[in-house]
Amino acid sequence: MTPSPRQTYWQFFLWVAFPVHAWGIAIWLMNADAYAARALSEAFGLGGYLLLGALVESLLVFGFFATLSLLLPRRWPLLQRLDALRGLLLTATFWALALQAVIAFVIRQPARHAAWVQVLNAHWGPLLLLLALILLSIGLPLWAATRPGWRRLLAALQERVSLFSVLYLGLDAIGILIVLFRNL
Amino acid sequence: MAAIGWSNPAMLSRREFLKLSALLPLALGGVQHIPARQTAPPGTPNILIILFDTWSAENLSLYGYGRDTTPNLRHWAERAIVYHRHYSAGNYTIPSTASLLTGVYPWRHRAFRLYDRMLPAWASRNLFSAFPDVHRLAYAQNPIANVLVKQVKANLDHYLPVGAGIAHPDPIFTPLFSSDQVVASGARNTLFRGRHSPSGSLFLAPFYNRLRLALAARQRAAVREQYPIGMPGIDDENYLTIEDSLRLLVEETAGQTQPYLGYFHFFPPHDPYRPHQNFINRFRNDGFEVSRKPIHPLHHAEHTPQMLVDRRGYDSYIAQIDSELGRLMHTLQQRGDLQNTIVILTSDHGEMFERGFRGHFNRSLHQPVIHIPLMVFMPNQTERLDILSPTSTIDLLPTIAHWLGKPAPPWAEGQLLRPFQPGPPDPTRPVFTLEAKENHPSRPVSPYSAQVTRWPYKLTEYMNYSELYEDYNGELVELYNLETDPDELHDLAASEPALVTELRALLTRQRAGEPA
Repeated sequence: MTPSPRQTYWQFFLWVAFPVHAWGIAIWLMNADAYAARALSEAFGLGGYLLLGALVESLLVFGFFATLSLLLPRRWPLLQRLDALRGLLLTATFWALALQAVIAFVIRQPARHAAWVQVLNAHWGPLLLLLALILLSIGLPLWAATRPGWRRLLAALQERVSLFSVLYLGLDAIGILIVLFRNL
Repeated sequence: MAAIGWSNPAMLSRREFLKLSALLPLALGGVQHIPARQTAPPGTPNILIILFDTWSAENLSLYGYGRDTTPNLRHWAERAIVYHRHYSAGNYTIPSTASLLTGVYPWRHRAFRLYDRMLPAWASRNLFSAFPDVHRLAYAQNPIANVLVKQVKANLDHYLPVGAGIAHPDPIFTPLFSSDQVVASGARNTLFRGRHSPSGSLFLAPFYNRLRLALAARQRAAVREQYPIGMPGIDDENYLTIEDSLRLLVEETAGQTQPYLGYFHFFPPHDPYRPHQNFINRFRNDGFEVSRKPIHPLHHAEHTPQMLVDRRGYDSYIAQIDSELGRLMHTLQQRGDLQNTIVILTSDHGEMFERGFRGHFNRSLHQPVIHIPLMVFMPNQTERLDILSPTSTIDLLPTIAHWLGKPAPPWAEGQLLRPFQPGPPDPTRPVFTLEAKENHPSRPVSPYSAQVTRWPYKLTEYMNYSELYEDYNGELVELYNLETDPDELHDLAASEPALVTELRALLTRQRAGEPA
């Protein structure tokens, strides 16, 4: 049965919410100790803000990709467009994680950072490579959205991811309550 | 006429009973937060505490500093009580502010770490709970001091959030979450400011940081003429000026319910030192010589030319505060406030640019970081009085009690300040400072730095720091005679063992009662 546009967008929202929340919660777990040492309520407070941040971020990223979907060919069926968006978000997530890794492992060592910037400034090669990677990141998901095997995999993933995302949205509600309580 | 079910308790239905029970916690909570109110006797003065964060007495010309950083204060000091040997109870905001608010040393309130609160008992035993018959208002511009003020908020009649004195707050977090500034700004930094660790926001961090930098640049451009090196700010997000900050004080105290007890804790001259255009070049090429002091074993920086530049920036910032303070005192005088208000000028800790220490968030207890200003302006005072006995942050609470005609609260560890204390000065009175920011409040402190000053001697213990194990077997003890050696250059610990033992016994006594 073909899902309605509303269901399609809801599924995509859950798809967006998953990496954003999973990352936010991982970062909360990394930072909560320092806050819990002061007061447990502060560790939960931090969690509340991070969940609220993750919800807002999910909405913004969803809005961005939903707008982007207007650029996809109209002749594509709704589900195929959804798969293209899912693929694009996957690559975007990959790049976002790569950027975080660069921040964590390269930028924290200023000498290495400076060396990278120097390389990028002095040579066209790395810049062209970067451009090619970006084009590939956009082209590959659009092409993959026409491959039945890939689309089945995405559908199977969506099923599992949605479960987690719904749980995360429940946590968001608790996070909002925590933030409201702390600011009343 | 329809009967009202709960007009007769016997007729309460189960549903009505449950409804009423649900309201009970609300009612109790409400009762708890209504401050007790009596009427202060007529003639009770207002008390106005004005605290500048990170304001070292060692950098004020009022106390003999080589650069003329405080010409206005010197003028106003002619009608004030000037305390020359006033010591903070900690070397940064949390322990020392907690000591000011509670009147006890950090060994007892146990607020040691950044963002620590005092032990819960102090939420109802503090400067504000002790004087319920005056109107109590408080403002802390420094978010970490605000943590402590918020802890005693239930004892206040008027609480001002951090954002009240921030001229240009960050666009989202400060306005939205002003009541929960510390955790909200921590969350902001966790979400977006991954300089050395990943950001909590997977996609938006680069965009938020771009926006933040763009706003900061716009801010700088708008005030470039007045603040060419940028506006002073907290955490490089919330920008403020000392002019605006003091204006808040003037506005809040105008027409205030009297008598009041006001506590205003301002962020300047805390780092970043970004004075107004008129003060930036105040001390450039002035030939001022800094005496070189030995690098301390616990140092975290080297003595570099940048240290001298930073010191000059700090001094210039102090000069601007002095100018604005002069204007504030003039305004208070014009308004007639000085006739019925006791004004206290002080700080929470100092700042240092020597011995391999820059700033104050370190383990040092040398004079620049713990010797702080204290000036008291009594109503209609016309002559200057200089007090040379050592005094401590914790002495303010019992003295305020005296001014308000109350006995000192039983828990207060401090003494009445001179000249309000009868009898001759006690030459054996020790004052203490504790730095223990690496410690949990519920455990005995270790490692720590602690000092005791019993004039003219000052003994400092640096205990159990890992850096000290190789060369000092974990403990470093320094003893100075501040009368003959105010720069703490000649350590007497080896040549005065009896005195060392005696002063260390005083520190041991302070530690008594710590959790096992």
